[in-house]
Amino acid sequence: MTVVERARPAMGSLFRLRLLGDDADHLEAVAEAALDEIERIERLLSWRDARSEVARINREATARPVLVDFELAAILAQCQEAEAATDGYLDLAAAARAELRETGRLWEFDAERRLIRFTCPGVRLDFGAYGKGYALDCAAAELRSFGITQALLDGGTSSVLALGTDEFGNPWPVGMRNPFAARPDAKTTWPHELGQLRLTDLALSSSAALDAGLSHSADHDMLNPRTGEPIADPSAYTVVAADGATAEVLSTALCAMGSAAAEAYTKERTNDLLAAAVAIVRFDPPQDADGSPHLTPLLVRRPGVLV
Amino acid sequence: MNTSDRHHAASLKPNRRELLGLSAAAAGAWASTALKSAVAADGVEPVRTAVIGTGGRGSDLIRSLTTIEGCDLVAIADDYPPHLEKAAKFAGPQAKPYSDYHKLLNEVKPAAVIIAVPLYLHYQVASDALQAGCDVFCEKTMCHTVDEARKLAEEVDSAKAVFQVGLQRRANPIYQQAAAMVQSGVLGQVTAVKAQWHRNNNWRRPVPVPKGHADWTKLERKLNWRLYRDYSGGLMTELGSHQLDVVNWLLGDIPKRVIASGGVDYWRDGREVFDNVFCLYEYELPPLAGPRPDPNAAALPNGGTSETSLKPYTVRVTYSSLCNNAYEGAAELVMGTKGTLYLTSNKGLFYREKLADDVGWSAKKTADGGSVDASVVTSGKTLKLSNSPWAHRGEPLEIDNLLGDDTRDELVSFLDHVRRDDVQTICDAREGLRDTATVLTANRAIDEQTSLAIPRV
Ligand SMILES: NC(=O)c1ccc[n+]([C@@H]2O[C@H](COP(=O)([O-])OP(=O)(O)OC[C@H]3O[C@@H](n4cnc5c(N)ncnc54)[C@H](O)[C@@H]3O)[C@@H](O)[C@H]2O)c1
Repeated sequence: MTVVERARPAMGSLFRLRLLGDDADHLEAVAEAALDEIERIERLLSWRDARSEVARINREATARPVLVDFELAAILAQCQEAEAATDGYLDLAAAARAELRETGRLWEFDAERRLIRFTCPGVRLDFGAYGKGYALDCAAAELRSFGITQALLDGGTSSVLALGTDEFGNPWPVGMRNPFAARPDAKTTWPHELGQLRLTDLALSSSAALDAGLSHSADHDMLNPRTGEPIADPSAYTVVAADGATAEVLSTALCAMGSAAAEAYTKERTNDLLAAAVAIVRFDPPQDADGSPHLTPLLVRRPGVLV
Repeated sequence: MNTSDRHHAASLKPNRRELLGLSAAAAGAWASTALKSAVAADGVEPVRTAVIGTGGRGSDLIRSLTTIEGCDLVAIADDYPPHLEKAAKFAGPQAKPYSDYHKLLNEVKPAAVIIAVPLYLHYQVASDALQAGCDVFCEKTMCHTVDEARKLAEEVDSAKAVFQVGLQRRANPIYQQAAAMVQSGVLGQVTAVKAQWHRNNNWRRPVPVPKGHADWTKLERKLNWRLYRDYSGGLMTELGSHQLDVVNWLLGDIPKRVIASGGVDYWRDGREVFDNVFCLYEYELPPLAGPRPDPNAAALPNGGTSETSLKPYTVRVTYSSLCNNAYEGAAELVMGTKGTLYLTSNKGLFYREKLADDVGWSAKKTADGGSVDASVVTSGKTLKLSNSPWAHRGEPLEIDNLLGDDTRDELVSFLDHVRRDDVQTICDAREGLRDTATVLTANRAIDEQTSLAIPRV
């Protein structure tokens, strides 16, 4: 068995691929093609790059409706559904909303005509809660189309996608650490893993705060998009799902809800988004004196995924 | 099809205000804002457009075309089913897919055709599209041989068609600014250009079947056409064409001669095109337009006179492309007597030359205009020069591209020209022919190990 590893910076972090197969030349060419695909998604979604479609929307959609391509139209429709399914906690305009102190709709999308417009000046879209997961999905599709059946992909370690099994024929193992352990106010740090996920043909996304990549607000903690205030009871989440975009959207929305609301949401609600989740794990800041690690499985639909 | 037929063939669409559909009142309010592109103006007729060749670049172009309000993407064609299927998703359900582009031209009769097939097919497809009465956007490099490029330029002329070569830097505000700066003399006299496109990868596309498979060789040549001479001119046509077009544009002429060297020296994997090339072009240019040299001025260096300074002078341009070291990336460095431009697609930098009278002595007069401030202040400490190797450059002025994507912009411009039936596109067939002659002559100079004159085209 041959292993080829490749990495490329994109979306403000490093994307890494590990491909298994038997022809190194083939694996190398496929790895480049998959990384090109990730770069293409960055060029589509990054608000930082003036050449991207999202930058064009952000420049023009206040002045007039902007025609978007079919791919972005599908993404916007999907995000709009996710926004509804998460009571607005998935919010592509979250950063602008906090600045504008606006609670109403900030953008409207006419899916049939593929036209998006902003409802007031100062709005901008930010696909930080979506882009890395979607990029991994697209890269995985590229890998599959060239016959790759075993691969591990990650974007800055917070988004991971596993195809098939590792070189030993086992599901790909992914370790989890408590993100709060690294905070300066944490009473104790736990450098060790709290648990592992075992992934085959699954993706995961971890959210603790707005991530630095596609996001406008790299430096501060995530805000509650419904109030524009910092989240009162922050937790962090790792969500496992069949595709990266779903995992990304759900982990971000749960994070924005705050601990109590997210728990109630996971336990009590039924919708397509939650139905697509395979596992949801919550991490809390340490509270007791002994600093015992807080990892709470909120949902595990497939045995063996969480060990 | 003549122009008015072409425009008749375009389906009439409701005007823009109806297209909006969202909120009529809000649309009225927004209408006062100046729009960047003319395509979004009221009452515009969409151009019925087709794309032939829907691989990597074709898909980029399709995605851009579907965001342009004045474009009606009616059909796409590719003879490789996986690419056609993938592109169909980007093109949308209104675009009819064809495996045979002749059939597309016959049945759909598009007003404009966008061509993104491999280089060796550019001439044939473009010529067929012109025959079918279409306006044509053809990806770079315009043609696989200079003869084909000559023929195509003539066919474009006699068809009076709108024709544009896909050299998108022509639509890029950074390069437009650079051209204005060079042509207005901000750089002084441009005496040299250094351009390169250096990358570190094998430039191969993956093949979807394993090596032993019966179709492998066929598919490998189909997908990796850029590595074989029957289909491609290698680095010079795929990369060099962009940058030498920039040089031709900025200097306002094509080179007179080229010497060049190249080979397959690292990626010895069966490819036929060079994996590294180094070229030295000589341009002969008239001196800068502007005031004539002052006859009373001090003699020019080396006994030159104002007479000799009016003779054409030689600008030397080096170009290289590598596939095994990416340190220098892709950029053009335009060197003039007063300043230097460093150009890339998303950032330009302008460095002024430190000139002899820039010594930095203080020479301020005092308020009463009498005595002069000390020119030098000494304090026992030697002012040390920075040991940074780049200190001599000083701080650059930056040229940003804040407006968008040059690929989308070149298409907006092309469709605007089609709509107005204006043949003076931002990169017409004559420019495409000059670019083709510039890059292909370097390839020939490498093969023949000799200096060659660039054909006057
Ligand atoms: N302007 C740029 O920046 C830029 C970038 C990349 C490529 N290009 C140019 O675009 C062109 C295509 O390059 P690419 O990278 O997309 O290559 P590609 O191989 O990905 O795509 C070429 C497509 O043409 C199709 N094709 C071949 N013969 C055909 C035929 N007879 N009828 C219909 N389709 C046919 C192929 O099946 C393939 O899908 C080249 O001329 C290249 O130089 C330009």
